[in-house]
Amino acid sequence: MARIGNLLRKDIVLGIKDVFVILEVVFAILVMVLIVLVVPDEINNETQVFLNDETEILTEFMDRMMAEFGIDAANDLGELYVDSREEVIAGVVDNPSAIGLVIAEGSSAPYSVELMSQPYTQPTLIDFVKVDMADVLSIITPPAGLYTPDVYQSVRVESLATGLRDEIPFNKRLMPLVLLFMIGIMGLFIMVSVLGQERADQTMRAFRVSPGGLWSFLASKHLLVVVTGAVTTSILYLPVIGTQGYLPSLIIMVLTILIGSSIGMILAAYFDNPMSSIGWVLLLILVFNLPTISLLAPIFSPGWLRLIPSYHTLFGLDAAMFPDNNANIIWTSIGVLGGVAAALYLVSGIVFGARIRKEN
Amino acid sequence: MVQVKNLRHSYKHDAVYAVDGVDFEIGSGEIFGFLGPSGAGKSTTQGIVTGLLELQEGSIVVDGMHRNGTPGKEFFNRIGVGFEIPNVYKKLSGLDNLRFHAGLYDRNTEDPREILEMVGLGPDAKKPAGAYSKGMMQRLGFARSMINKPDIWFLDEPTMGLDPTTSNSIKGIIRRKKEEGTTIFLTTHNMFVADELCDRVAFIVDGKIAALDTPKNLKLQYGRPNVVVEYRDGVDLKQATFELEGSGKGELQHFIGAHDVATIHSGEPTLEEIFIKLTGRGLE
Repeated sequence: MARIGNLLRKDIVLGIKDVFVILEVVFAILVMVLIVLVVPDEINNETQVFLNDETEILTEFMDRMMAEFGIDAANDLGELYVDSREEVIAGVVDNPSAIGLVIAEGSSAPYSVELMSQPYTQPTLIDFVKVDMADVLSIITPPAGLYTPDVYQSVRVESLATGLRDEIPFNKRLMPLVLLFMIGIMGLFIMVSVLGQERADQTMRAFRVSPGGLWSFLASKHLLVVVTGAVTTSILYLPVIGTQGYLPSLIIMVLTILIGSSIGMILAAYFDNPMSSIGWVLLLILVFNLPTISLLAPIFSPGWLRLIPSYHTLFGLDAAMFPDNNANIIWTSIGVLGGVAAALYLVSGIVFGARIRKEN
Repeated sequence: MVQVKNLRHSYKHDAVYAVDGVDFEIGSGEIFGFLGPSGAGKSTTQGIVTGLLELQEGSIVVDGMHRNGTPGKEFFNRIGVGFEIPNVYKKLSGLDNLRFHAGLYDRNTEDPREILEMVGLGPDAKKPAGAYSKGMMQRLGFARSMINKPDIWFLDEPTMGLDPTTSNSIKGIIRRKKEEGTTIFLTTHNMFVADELCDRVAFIVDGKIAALDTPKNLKLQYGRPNVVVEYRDGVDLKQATFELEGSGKGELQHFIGAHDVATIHSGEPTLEEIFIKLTGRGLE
């Protein structure tokens, strides 16, 4: 332990002067200030619906239904009732996230529905609105409806806890992504940098002919990266999120940093400095980036995405920061990340040792 | 103390050997010189013996103990290794460099301050090593290599790039360590340093030892001792050379009696001349 302490003391003194360590701490402070002071708490990107119902059949139905649940349809559901087709068009033109509906009496069917959307509106949303309108109108006018009322009674209904995510301030929702890319990936750069420096200055050769031992040497480097990562995680986390989920988040981050530093060690075995390994680093960042799609759009979550460790980092952090009766996600993430970190720690040490023993 | 037998090493594990069947023994308290040009296999041999490089073929015995695989902590506690390149932490002070290395050993070590004084870096102990001149860094690397009071001390070009005064001071420290009983393996291509310091030298070229003996014996065995006489011929100062073998002695005596002699120098061959004679190659 005294030897590890001696190594760590040296690595911390050198780390304080390492450009990547300095960058990580400085950027952590800057990003924390940006998130707290600059990034807005709320960004409204919900779709608004401008509705002109000449028949008033849908308007009355919605008001009646929503009143039963104490919801003001016009305000709470993002629907704006307007008096003419022209007002619908104006609303859709002025609001880039709006769509419009004009309901009138039909000639061949009881009602005609005109749907207006933006050029970039997702086809899936258009399809959904079409089906939804057909469904609602069929309920209002049963003889012409698609389904009889007993169909609805036979459908199994589950209560979904929706809406909670909407209450989380936007700047806090960014935190899992910020932590992963600001700190998790940075561990990789720092490891390549500090090991590259030892190799370039040949100080590693001097160490290798001492009784220090390669594993102690590498453990000290991991400790430096993990300690730096834990400190910067705290700098970012505590002012933005507070103490909510801090401990599990810290454990998830430490394991993610260890994975990053182990991958960095493998790169450092083949490359002398971060710049010469930049191609691999960018490729890894790209791969580690993929699970963010799943976090931002949960509907996209193929099985292979879970093979990427950052998937578990993002969802583990999300679950720890914004608890939603989801402790199992936290522990699953910690378990997976812990296993990957332990395996990579061993593999990286073996690979680095084998490479270095070929150098005189 | 150190016995090396039939050492062979190929960096690419093919038939190209950087070291090819090297044998030597170093006695306790001896300074053993390894002399050869760049790329001859000096550093590879030192790398294998110190444990930096894997032992592929051959055997190494230290104090009767056979080396199997990578050496253990006991071996590393006993050796000191000085490299040609002064591998020091440039962002740490000279003193912190030595303190860090002293902390790696499980044995009594030198006082970092004393050792810095010894190599003339006392006044600069707290300066970052990156601010040192090349010679100062070289001395810091030299000091680091003896921080653990090594029993076996490996030195690679210890005086390279040093001014004559500092070089003499370093050579003085090496001699003193020898007197204290340290066994020293000195790798160099500087024939004067080898001649001055070494009890025995080995000439290595193309991974093979070409000759191994004391500098004196090598000179006697392979050199042809001569005498260079400077004499006045009118206003000119001229030179004549006489070999000290065969009829040369008589010719010299006759020449001294017949000329106005200004100076007489013995023309003992240098180690470099013997090296060239034996290997057909220079030492650079």
